[in-house]
Amino acid sequence: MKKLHLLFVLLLAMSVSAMATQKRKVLFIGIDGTRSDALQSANTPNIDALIAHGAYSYDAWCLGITVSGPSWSSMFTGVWYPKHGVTDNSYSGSQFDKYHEYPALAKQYKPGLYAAEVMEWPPLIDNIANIYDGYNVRIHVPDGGTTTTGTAALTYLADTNVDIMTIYYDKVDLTGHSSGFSPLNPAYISAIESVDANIGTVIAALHARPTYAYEDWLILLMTDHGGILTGHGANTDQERHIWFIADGTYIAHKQLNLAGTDPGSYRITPPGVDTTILKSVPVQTDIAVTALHFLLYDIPGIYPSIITTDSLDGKSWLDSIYFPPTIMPTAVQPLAGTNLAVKMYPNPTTNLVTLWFEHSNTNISYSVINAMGALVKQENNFQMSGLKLNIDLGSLSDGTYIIHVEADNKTVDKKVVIKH
Amino acid sequence: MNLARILCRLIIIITFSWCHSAIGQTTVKGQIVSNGVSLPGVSVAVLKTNIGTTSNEDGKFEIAGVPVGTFSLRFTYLGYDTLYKDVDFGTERDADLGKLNMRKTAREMKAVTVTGKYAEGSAQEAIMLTKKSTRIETVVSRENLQKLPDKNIAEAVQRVAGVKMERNKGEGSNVSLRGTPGDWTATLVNGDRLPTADEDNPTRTFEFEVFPSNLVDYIFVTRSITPDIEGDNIGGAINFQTIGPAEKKILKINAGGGQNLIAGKPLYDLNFVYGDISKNKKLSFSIAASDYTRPYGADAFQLVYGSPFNHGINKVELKDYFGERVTLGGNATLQYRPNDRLKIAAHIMAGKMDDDKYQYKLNYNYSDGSGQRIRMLGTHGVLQRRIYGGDITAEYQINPKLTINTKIASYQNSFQYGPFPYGNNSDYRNGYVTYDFISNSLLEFKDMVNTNFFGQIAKPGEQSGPIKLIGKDDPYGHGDNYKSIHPMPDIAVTAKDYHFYQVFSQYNHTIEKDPVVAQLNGIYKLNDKITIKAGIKGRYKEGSREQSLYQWIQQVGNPTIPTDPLPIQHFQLQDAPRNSSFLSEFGQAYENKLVPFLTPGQMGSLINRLGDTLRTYTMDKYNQDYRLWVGGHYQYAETTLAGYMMAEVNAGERWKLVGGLRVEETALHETGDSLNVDTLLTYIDPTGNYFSYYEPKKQILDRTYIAILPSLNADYTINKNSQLRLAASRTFHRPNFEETKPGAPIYYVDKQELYLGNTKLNPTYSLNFDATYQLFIGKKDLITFGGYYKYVTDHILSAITDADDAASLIILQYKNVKKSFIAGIEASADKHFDFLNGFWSGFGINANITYSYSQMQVPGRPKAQAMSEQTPLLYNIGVYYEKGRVSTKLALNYTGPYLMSPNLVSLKGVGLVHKDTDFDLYRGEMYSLDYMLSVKAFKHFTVYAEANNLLDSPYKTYIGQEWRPKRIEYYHQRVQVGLKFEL
Repeated sequence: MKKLHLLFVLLLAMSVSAMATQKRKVLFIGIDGTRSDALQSANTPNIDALIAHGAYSYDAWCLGITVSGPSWSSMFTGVWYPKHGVTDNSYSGSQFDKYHEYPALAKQYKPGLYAAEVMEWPPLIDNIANIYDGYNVRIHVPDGGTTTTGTAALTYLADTNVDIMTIYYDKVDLTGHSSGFSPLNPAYISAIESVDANIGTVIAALHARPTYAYEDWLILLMTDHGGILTGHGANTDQERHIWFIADGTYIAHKQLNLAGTDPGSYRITPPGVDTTILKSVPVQTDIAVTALHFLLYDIPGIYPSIITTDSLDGKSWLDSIYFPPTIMPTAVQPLAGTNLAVKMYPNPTTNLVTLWFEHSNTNISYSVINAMGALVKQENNFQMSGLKLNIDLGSLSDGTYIIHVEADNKTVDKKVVIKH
Repeated sequence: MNLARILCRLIIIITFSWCHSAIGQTTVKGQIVSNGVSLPGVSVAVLKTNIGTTSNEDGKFEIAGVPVGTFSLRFTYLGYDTLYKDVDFGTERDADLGKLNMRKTAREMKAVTVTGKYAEGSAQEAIMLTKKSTRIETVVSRENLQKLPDKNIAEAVQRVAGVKMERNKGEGSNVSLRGTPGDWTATLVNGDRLPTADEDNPTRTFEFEVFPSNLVDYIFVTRSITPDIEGDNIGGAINFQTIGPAEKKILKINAGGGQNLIAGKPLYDLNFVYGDISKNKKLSFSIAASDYTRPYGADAFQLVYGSPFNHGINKVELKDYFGERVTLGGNATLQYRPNDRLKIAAHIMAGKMDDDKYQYKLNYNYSDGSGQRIRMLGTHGVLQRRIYGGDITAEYQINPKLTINTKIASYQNSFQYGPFPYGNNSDYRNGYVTYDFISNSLLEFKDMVNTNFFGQIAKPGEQSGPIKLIGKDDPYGHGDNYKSIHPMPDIAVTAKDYHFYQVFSQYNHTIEKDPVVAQLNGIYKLNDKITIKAGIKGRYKEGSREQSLYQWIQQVGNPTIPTDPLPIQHFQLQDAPRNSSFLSEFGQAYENKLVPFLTPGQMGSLINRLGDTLRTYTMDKYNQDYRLWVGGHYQYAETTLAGYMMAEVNAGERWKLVGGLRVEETALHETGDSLNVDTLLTYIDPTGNYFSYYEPKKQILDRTYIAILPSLNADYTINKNSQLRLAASRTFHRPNFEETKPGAPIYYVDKQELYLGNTKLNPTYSLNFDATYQLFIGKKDLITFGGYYKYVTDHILSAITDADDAASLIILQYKNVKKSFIAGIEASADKHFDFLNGFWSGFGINANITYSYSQMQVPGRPKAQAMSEQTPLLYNIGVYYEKGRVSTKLALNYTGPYLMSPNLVSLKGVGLVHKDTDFDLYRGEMYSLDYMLSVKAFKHFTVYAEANNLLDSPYKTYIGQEWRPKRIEYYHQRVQVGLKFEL
């Protein structure tokens, strides 16, 4: 018995030491031109799975130029366009000699890091010198190819040496330009869904790495801008309103910027960017800084000192979402309270309303009550495959209704307006 | 039949003729016929006397009072070999020479030698040919052509009833009959369909810019066909007969010069015809050449619409075109006639057109991947078209009943962008090159309105955003008229506020050859009433098309090269030629908007000058956009074999029937590429960059189909001046090679659309019924009324498909529409006012009108709609004056609006997005008014003046509504004066 106890302690110690020596690695997946509301209405089981486990926000904002060149440059360098100098897709005026991409910055501290990128859009590789981006392998893949991108990425995801991997998909943006950036455009939604399907294979390949147990991957996902009609580049909410996802073994499940506040834009002056609000909102420059913080964690004081040394504009989310075993009190942070946190859209609606909420997929029930207090629709004790519950209210007449939802012993009442 | 038998028969015939003519008389009569059809108006002369006559309506003639002795009779008729007959008038008193057969010259129509008043003979001949035709046919002569103020034959043939013409920069490019889709009409040269190779039009329709009208003698416009004509023509066939061998010495020289008012530059036109015949009349030839050089210009306006869900405007483009076109053409014919029964001829032709074309363009980008911007662009290229070919024909009369003729022809047609910017023609970087400069600042246009995604006022709570809408599309009711859109950027953009963005060169090399077109026909006269014709024709065709792109951008990824923007003022600039009066037809809204741009010289030197500061992209398999371009090249070979048998029957006094069967077999072998996505490969370039790519993989289509095409024409002679023609036929239309192309779709970068071939596409078939009443008034006037009905199966159109996963761009696939029909009526009148007196008798009028009603059922739309590319209304009115030395004509052409292509966007889960026609693309109506004056100044000289496009009516396309234009182009007026010399 004593021996057994000793063995248990030994095993525990081994596993803890395995965690302690897990090599930190970063996978950044960029999806071009994907509006936040469209991502929410699309059926994206793979992205939903990352959200269900990780930290996310459907209320991130593009603070710079809502054009691919400037925005991707901000994510990769951690600085806004006045610094990196990319103001359009010609990249003329770019200052990558002064502001490097995050793999190059990380390598200043850890030259042995091995970085690979798989990019569908040529400027992302061709318009920056290799010495300023720091990638060991720069892979061009067909633009809009999606499945090819995944296939090419899989080759490098199988390479145990890879420390930094950047994968970029263009299809959603191409579709937006061709038929419209809108959740109302079925082709746009379908493009998001096909990229999501490919992300599923990429995540599966990541988990299948032979060394996965000895690694600690931070998975980041973001987009460069939204869109309106068939374009983008200006400062409407539809163009600026984006999203952010961070997941990983030790990333806590958390919704960031729950209040949905908008810090403004460097392009809208006055008032410009509200720096107080900015602290609680994920933005593009946070990608590079969070990734650097994660990769260089063992260099004492690296964050926030790197902000000053490399004149970075972004911030790291690590301290509020990353809880490795040594400091994480419990593996899962249960959501407290009896109030169910539900996001509902659109409101007002003509027929369909979508409710988005966390649940453990046990029995879920909802009921719809009209202004007179009469029950007009209900469904009890069913299960949901994702995090979205769609309720068809098309048969109800115009007016205000209450939707009462119960899940995991928590409830919420949401008010919805139906207007045909 | 061996040679001995032929000789034997020859001897018998000659002996018989000699015996027959060895009888004399003082009164001689006879009837002149050609292939059993009587020839009126033949001039009969008794040589060495001043006695003569002309044949009457039935071809009969009689000459009395001939002195006793041996005389020669000479029979002459335009377009026919002159017939000589020796008669001894000493031995017999009255005699009937019976039927005398006159034969058409080798090419059926020969060089027209005009002896009398200017331009009368062959016009009369043309009317006669129209009357005598066994088909519903209109014949336009060279002389008629020269009376028209048209420089190319597409424009000339437009003057004929029911001809719709497509233009390219203001010049006629291709024509179709009865307003039907362009590729339904067979355009033939000397009876053969020419190979086609065009810049961006993949149809089988020959584009005539390369072919000067001066090389054409006759145009035969056939609305109902007989089995001896190629069956690939639902709309009808237009046959252009090039200048044939001379019948006497002929020399015509024409030198003209003038001014294109919009281009503000001179134009000139030189052409000549020279021909002669040997003394023994056995050998004759003609050569003709033409050089037509003209500048052109156009003020063009284009709106680019964005999403298929609303009418929002992405881009307003102002485009100043200018350039110069040089057309060189040559035609030579040699004919040898060793005897009356054998005729051998050879013919070669060549045509070339170089179009040195520039565009200066200003774009207001309301919605774009680079944000709201203004762009200034320039494009230059040399568009080269080439056609070469020739044929050898032989006709042999085996016996009076049987004639055979054969023809072997070979043609080649090509199009490519010429040697710019690299001097030699083989450089794959050459092409149609665009220089793209972009405004420095990102803008926000303040002239947009807020609507929901569908362009409607947003309901409370519904998302809305800025959109540019014009006219009635603006739900707030103050949309701009397209004639005065005022883009209002939030930041003022001056002419200096632009920098270099990119240069790209579009590559296009298209070639089609018909190495062998061979035919053999036999005509057998069974008896006076029945003639049997049979023949076979084979054609081997091969072609290829290659489209690609080459791109230069600023080399910003090289640490040794500065990334500073290249401002526009670092280059040598000039104003767009018509900037100060740009689109003055619209008012002043678009004047002085174009920004000074690179001079032509600077465009030529920019790439060299920027040298290492540019990075280049080749469109090879490693290129990240290659999946869009892999379908851009394809090859094909098509063998067609046709046979026909038909009979012409004179059934009684009034009825004449022509009927038979034609069978055409088509064997198509076509290859195109797609990506072999089974194997992802990696390439590492010298700089260490990796490229994941797929190898292209050949896709092959092998297909054979047989078309069975019966037809019957019936002519009913009501009286000697009027006849009724009825026809029923089955014809078909072969899909063009882009429509059947296997492999990946073809990318049209200008339209940002991909066109996917359909290897299962059926040829279109049509059952045609025609009725025409023709009334001949005198020798020169003709009035016709007609009606027609076409029942069409498998009409081809392009529809946006949802059957792909990579639909990040619009993909259209060619599809068949099951059933459609066209019903139409047409009328034409050609009337000389010779019933008036004196001065007024010189006036005349010709007019024609075609009206049609068509219907097709687009799958997914609740209502049937008009057929695509079918023009409902067309008319021509010409008023002319011809008397003495003066010939003048004012001609108006009207082509009504029609549907070009329906918008059939179909999305998964939604189906057809547009159930009505509000998103369909239409061609606007077009007027063309032209004037021509010619005065015979001296014996051999004619002075002429022409003024074209007097109304300056624009080319216009629009989306759904006339006030929602897509493209509008004005070409302005063109004037020319010239001098013609004629021996």
